[in-house]
Amino acid sequence: MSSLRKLTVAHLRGSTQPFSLSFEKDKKLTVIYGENGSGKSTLCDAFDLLGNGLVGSLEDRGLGGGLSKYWASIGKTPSEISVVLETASTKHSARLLKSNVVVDPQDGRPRVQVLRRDKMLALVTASAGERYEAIRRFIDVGGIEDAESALRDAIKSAEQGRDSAALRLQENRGEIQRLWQAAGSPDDDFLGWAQAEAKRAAGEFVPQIDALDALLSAYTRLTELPAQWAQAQQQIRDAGTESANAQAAFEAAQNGVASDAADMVSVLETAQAYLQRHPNPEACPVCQSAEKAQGLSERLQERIAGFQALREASQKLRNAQAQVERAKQHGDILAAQAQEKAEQFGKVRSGHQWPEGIDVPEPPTAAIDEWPAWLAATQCLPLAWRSALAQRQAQAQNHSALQGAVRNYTESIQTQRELDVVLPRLQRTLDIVVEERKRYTDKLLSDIANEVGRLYELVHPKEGSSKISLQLDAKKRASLAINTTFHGTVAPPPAYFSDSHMDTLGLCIFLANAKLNEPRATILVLDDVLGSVDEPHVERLIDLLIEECQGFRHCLIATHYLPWRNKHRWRMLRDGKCQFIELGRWTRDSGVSQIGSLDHVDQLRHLLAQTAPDAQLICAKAGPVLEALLKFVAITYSLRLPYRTDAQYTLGELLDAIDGKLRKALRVEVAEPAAGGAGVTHRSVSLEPLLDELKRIAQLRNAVGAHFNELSFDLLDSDAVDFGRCVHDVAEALTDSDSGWPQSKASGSYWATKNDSRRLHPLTRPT
Amino acid sequence: MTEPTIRASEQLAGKIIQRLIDEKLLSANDGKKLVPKMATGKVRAEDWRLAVEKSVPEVSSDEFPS
Repeated sequence: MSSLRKLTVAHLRGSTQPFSLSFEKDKKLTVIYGENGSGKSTLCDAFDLLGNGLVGSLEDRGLGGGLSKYWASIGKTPSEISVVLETASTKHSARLLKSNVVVDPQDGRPRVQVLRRDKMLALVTASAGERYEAIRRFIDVGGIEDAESALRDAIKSAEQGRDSAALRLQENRGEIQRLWQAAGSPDDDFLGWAQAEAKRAAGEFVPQIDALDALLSAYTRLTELPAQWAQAQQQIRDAGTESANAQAAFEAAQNGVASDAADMVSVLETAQAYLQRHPNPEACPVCQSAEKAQGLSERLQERIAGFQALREASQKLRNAQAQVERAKQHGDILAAQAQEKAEQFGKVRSGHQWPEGIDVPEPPTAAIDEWPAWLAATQCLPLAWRSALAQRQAQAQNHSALQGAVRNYTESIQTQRELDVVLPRLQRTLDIVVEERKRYTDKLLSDIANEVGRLYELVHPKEGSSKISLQLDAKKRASLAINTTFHGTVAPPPAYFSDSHMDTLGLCIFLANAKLNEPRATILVLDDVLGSVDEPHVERLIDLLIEECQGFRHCLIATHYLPWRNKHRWRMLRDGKCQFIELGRWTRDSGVSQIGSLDHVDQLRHLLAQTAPDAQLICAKAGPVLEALLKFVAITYSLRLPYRTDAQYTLGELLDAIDGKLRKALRVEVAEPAAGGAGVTHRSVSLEPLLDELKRIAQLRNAVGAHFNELSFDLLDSDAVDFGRCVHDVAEALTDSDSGWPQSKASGSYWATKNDSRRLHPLTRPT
Repeated sequence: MTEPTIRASEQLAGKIIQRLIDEKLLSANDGKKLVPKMATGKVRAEDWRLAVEKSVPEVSSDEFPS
């Protein structure tokens, strides 16, 4: 992630005029100091708008919904709002389109997390649900919980399946037992019997059933024939009688006409048929006379009509004779059928090995007239056959039922066995899922809690209240309880913590959470979060923030807390990591403005650089700077000073505390760029001549007994300028505007600033 | 403290499935298929049943139960 270069804000909240904030290279921490109402929150809001599309400083202030209408500066419209953040390689802008925040480009949109003073306490005092929501993204394993629920369903279903199989098993045993009893309890072990029976082929009963079926059908077909035969014989007799009557009627009709009438009719009908095929003959087809050919057909018709009665009698005779013929043919057919059915019965009889008790007679003879006697003699047999058939059908049915029961019994047992294997495995799977989920979330929460505790301990060391715990409520989804151990008592923090401690804890929770979420890509914005921290803890809190901020992409701390400015002005804030920006008083016309944020040494240099230096101002500034420098030396080398509760020492006291040996040894190596610009060299500056000169001026004007802020009253103007210059030289030698004071003795041979730009010798006071 | 770079459910699903595979409660192949479904909560009861059943070693038994 590239480092921030410039933030430009226009017409958002307090920025009535466009305001640009340039970020110093390689400094991840920017402290924006300003009195209340100077526009600090406007700059925080600018980041909030760009990263999160909102202006958090207006939320929860009872303004209701639609807050975007308040986002624009007085006299400006929302569409005029503009926030632009430039980095070494990107440029993102945020604007308002109606009430929507539009960030361009969307890709790589800065990730911003903002903590405001009014939200700090909420992190501690929030409901368990709200607290859970804050870190839900990191601990929410809803997908796993759903999978867990599905697994529980699978187990429940398998248990039901096993219960169901057990129930079926009981039913199947009962059914097998019933069938065994129905079969006459043939064996002591009914299950063994059932198994053996079930192995018998299902078709075992089929041949007997089929044979009995065929026997009954064949017999039934025989029973139908005698009646049909008798009827056919009657029809033959009736047809014969009819034919004889027709013969007599024909003969009577024939006697009424010429003896050859019948032949004549025959000839005439033949001629008529001829003439129908040859309608206009030139001559008679019989005599070949041409003269009578004319009207031959008409004359033929007239003659035939004369033979009508004879013709009708003739037709009836032919019909009757045909009927006799048909009746005889029918009788012949029945006789053939009778023979065939008798043979079929014979085949059925001989085609099967009939068991004992089933009597099957020889088939009847071909003489159908004898069949009634045969049928009468065998009429009781079909009843026995039907009984035998029903018995075998029942056996087949029972066998089929037995096979089904045995199959179901086997399947139920198999199902039960399979489930007996699968169920423990499903249960074990569930145990693992639950165990891993709990372990995962517990570990995550423990990590967060430990981190909160670690951060808290840095600010409140050894107070016995850094053991923080976060616990998910197993009974309530999305609920996160927080507890702390306060002198051995576990309780929610509000039970024992002061407001100051709660604020610190809130900040620690926020930082720990923020570190979960890609911190290297996150711009952290802390808006006025140090308000209520107790004085003894401020130093440590500031150190904590400076240190923790290095893990983020950038950190912006907005504060009106004076110690920040004092630290900056005394070069205590800077170790090469922090940029300090001071905002001026906000006015509607000028909006947010940046004022000089020079430290005291820089201010002294500015006063000395004036063409007409103001001696009084120089002296007033140089006094406190010298006091700070000498106190630093006194503390560093544990110099002897009279004990005073107010720690207010005179110039003479602090100067005299530096004895001759130490004064001679006091030397600072000041880092300077090497010639050619590659690397650095160290220029040695002895502090002895500067301290001697300061003492000389003080003695000359009898100001050694003066307090530092009273020096301006004691020194002449000419002395004051020299005094100021001398103090400035000591300060420049001893401190660095970027890295502050030489406070590290890690080298083992001198005191150094963190960036090694100053090396103060000696390490210890010479004896 | 570790930084979660992937969603918690995905990370946890991977851990759980690996353990189930190690304990031979799932085959590696079925486990691999279950990870994304588990992370998104789309595993159904029958998916679990089938996957666990498939991991059971084959035992042939023709013996008639009594």
